[in-house]
Amino acid sequence: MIQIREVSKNFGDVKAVNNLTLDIREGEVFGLVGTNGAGKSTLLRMLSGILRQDKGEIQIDGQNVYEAEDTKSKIFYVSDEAYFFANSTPKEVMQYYVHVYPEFDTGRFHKMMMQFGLDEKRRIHTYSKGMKKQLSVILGLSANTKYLLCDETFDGLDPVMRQAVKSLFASEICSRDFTPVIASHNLRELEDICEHVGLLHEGGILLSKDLEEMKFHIHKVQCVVPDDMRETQLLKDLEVLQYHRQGSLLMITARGTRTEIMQRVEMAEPIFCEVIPLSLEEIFISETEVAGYEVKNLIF
Amino acid sequence: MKSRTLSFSLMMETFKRQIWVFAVSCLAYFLVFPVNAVMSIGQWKDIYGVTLELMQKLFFWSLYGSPYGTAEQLSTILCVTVLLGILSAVEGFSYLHSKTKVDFYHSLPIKKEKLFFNQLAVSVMTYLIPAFIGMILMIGVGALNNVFTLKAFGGGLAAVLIGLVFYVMSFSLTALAMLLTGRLLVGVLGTAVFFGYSILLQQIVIDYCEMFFHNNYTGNEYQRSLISGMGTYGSPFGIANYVSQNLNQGNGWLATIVSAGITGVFLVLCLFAYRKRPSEAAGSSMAFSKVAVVVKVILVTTAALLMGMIARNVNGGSKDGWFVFGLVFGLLLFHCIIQMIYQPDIRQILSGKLSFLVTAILVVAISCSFRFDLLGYDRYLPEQDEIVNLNVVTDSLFIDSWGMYSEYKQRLDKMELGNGNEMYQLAKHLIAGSKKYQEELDKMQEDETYENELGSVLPIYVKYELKSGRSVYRSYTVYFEDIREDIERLSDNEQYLNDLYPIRTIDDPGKVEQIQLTSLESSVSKELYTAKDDRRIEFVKALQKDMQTLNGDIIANEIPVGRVYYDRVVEDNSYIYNQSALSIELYKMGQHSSVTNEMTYIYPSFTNTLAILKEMGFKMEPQFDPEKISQISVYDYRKDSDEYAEQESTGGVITETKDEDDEVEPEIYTERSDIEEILPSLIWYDLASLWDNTNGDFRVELSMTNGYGTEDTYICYVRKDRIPHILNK
Repeated sequence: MIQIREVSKNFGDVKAVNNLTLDIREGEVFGLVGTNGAGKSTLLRMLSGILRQDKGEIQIDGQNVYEAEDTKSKIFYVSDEAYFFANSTPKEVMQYYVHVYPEFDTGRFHKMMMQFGLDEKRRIHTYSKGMKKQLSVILGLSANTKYLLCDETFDGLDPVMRQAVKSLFASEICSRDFTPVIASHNLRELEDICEHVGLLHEGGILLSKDLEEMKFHIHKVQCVVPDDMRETQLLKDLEVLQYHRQGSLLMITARGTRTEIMQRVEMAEPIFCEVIPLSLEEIFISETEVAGYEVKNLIF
Repeated sequence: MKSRTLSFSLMMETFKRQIWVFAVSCLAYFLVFPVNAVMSIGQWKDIYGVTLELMQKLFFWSLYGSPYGTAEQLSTILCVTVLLGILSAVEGFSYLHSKTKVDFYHSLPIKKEKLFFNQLAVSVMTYLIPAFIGMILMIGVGALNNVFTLKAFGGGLAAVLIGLVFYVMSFSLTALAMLLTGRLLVGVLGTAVFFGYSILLQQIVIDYCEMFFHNNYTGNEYQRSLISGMGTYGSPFGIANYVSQNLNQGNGWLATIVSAGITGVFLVLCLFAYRKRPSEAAGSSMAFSKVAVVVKVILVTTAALLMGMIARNVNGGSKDGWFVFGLVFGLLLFHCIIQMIYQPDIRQILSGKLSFLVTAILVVAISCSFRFDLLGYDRYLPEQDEIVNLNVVTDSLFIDSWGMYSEYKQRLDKMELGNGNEMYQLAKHLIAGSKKYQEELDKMQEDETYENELGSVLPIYVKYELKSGRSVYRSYTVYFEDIREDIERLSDNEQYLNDLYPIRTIDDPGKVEQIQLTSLESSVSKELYTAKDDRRIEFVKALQKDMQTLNGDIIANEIPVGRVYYDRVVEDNSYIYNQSALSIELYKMGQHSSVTNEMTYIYPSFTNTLAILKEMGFKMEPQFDPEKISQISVYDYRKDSDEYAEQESTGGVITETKDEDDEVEPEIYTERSDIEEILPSLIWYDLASLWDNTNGDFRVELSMTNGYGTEDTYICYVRKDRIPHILNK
């Protein structure tokens, strides 16, 4: 388990991470979302022991991570801009990692390289950006570490490869003790893979919740009610997060299960009614607006 | 075990990444060891009198130093070693300047110190393997040429180990520069600062002393002074140079051991900096903000002082004005430049006001301490009881025979004049006299028409040899009249004359060789005796006898009739051509001599010497032979002064600088009667000294026929007390 307690990190006058507290449970895919400059990369770099926090405590499985070889051997960090030795081939890079990560699985590396159609003997500098990303993920998975920290890993991957990587993650989670932490500014990218999501903004955590729980407890309703009195009553009955009207069509985002919301809407005797599940993006827009943030400035 | 395996495999992986440095190292040591040996052995065979034994010694020396090593020559091997150390450290730690690379390396489950020592081990391997192989190949070349000895093998091993010290020193210093900085270019600049700053600082201090301290003595010889120590010991190149010069003569080991200790300190500093260095420093100019401030203050202060010096020296007019302008300009310019390097944002160019203020205070304090001599450099006079010897040298009054081509310091070092009242009073008068001279000089600079009647000026060099073992050198420029009495006393000092003229006390006249004479008969020196001519012994004995009668009265009142030049063989090896191992060895073999070139005047009272010279056919007349003089040209500068005064009084404008040769037309005398009247008043330039009281208003060129159908020209002065009437007409 990764425990982050009141961690702050400044770069000069810039507060990259500000008094952040967060838990990342084992065996789940954790999505770390936020705008550019929200502090995602800084947090991941602190988690991987590259940076030392100015304040607070970071523990991985109860141990500090900075300059701790044993703890760091449980982590593999996939940077958003991966570094490979000049003029090297994947095979040479693999050989280096074999010396560094004792559990590195070379067989698995070769297998995945073949599955992804990457040539192990080709110079990495001739690879495309997406191919380099794939190689980074393959190396990360082959290292057999407990935690895989991915920074903007899905950027540059085509949809097919993205799905393939997601499948690999799912398979890893099923087969061994594996916890990937994926940072991205793209919510759609994480929606179908993450089980738990933390939203970072200006170095602080806005919220951290299970995705399914969020989806289960928040819904969007489109309905037409006969008169204003019923409409007012309906809005009172629901725990409304957002409310829009287009002609006679009401569009309400409200907390609650589908059943709870439907019961209340039916009490207003609607002429038309439809409950739609929210996308992760919509959930975050709603949640952050409730939290008092100007959504347009936060996401996209 | 696992850790050791990891370290080794990691080292091999790192080694593979830096294989090109290894290749450069192999090439370099192949060139400086075996290839250089092949070429050197060919040259050694051409040395006059070379023996197999000498060649074996040369081969041994060339392994770790420079057999030809002189003060200016840096051993190629050590120079290459230092450069490779720099290259290896730049390659090894340049990753710290890239965020991507830092993220990669620092995310790995490897402790920073392990990464550091891994890099160090790889770099050492990059040196040791090629150097050792190069040395073995060189020994092979030596064996093929029959100059290899078992001792040479030991020397080779020692050479590789000594090289290792300087390699690691250079590596660690460069690594420190890379660790303290966040960008490669700044790191390389930092390396240049570490390697060159002390040399620049040394030059600035020397130049400031010369600019502002009137009694400053640097001469040509300041190798052992504190100031030169900055250049010698402040840079790995300087230390390596020192060691390479001294190892072959059995010295230099202490310097090597001290260097190893300093290297150890550098390594500890590197490790400390590496552990403390934040990974986010990649991309910033400096990794540590506090260090950045200190570096900025030091560099801007130095640069401002340098600019002040340049502005003062380059421009005429108000020296102080230009000096202040240079300081202020340098301060602002370099503050802005460094600020731009630190924060590449034009809006931040004037930020860092506190550091600017500190720098400005430092610049003012340092420049004022030099300009106004706040530390009392020019006033320096140790307590009399602290002095062991107070030695004095001046050329203008005594043509001291002691190594006339040697430096003042060397001559001062040979004296032992004690700390008597006579010498101490002289020192006091020199300090006061120097101050007076500077005040007069200032008056002349302020007012171009200002003139004084204080007479001739002469430089006097002094060495204060203290009981503490320290030696302090000063050079005073004073009016002769201000110290005449002291000098007169000094010229009667037996010890002083003995120190000044070693020929007075030498036991073996045979040590004097190659004797030549210059007199009024010929401007070209004539050889009296060769080194193999035993008749010279009699001459030397005569000269020695006359020299023993030398006293202040003779020096002050007699006008010499000639000069004798001779080579004197010295007991020790301090006067061999250079102090290289080869020269010393050739000296031991009798191929080189330790010889000092000396000279002394022949005074009219030197009857014994003159008698021999006359026997040999030299007339040694006190004046030129009128029969041989075809004409005398007299430049009378009084005339020029009158014209000048006339122009001034009539409001005339002088647009050109007064140049004696250009503006004064000589008066030419060809009549025999005129020549005979002028000749007794003339003193040949080569035989003149301040004692003679020559008149500075005249310059005389005398044309004399020689035996070859052409004419020689002699430059002469006119005696102050004997100005011919014809010149006053």
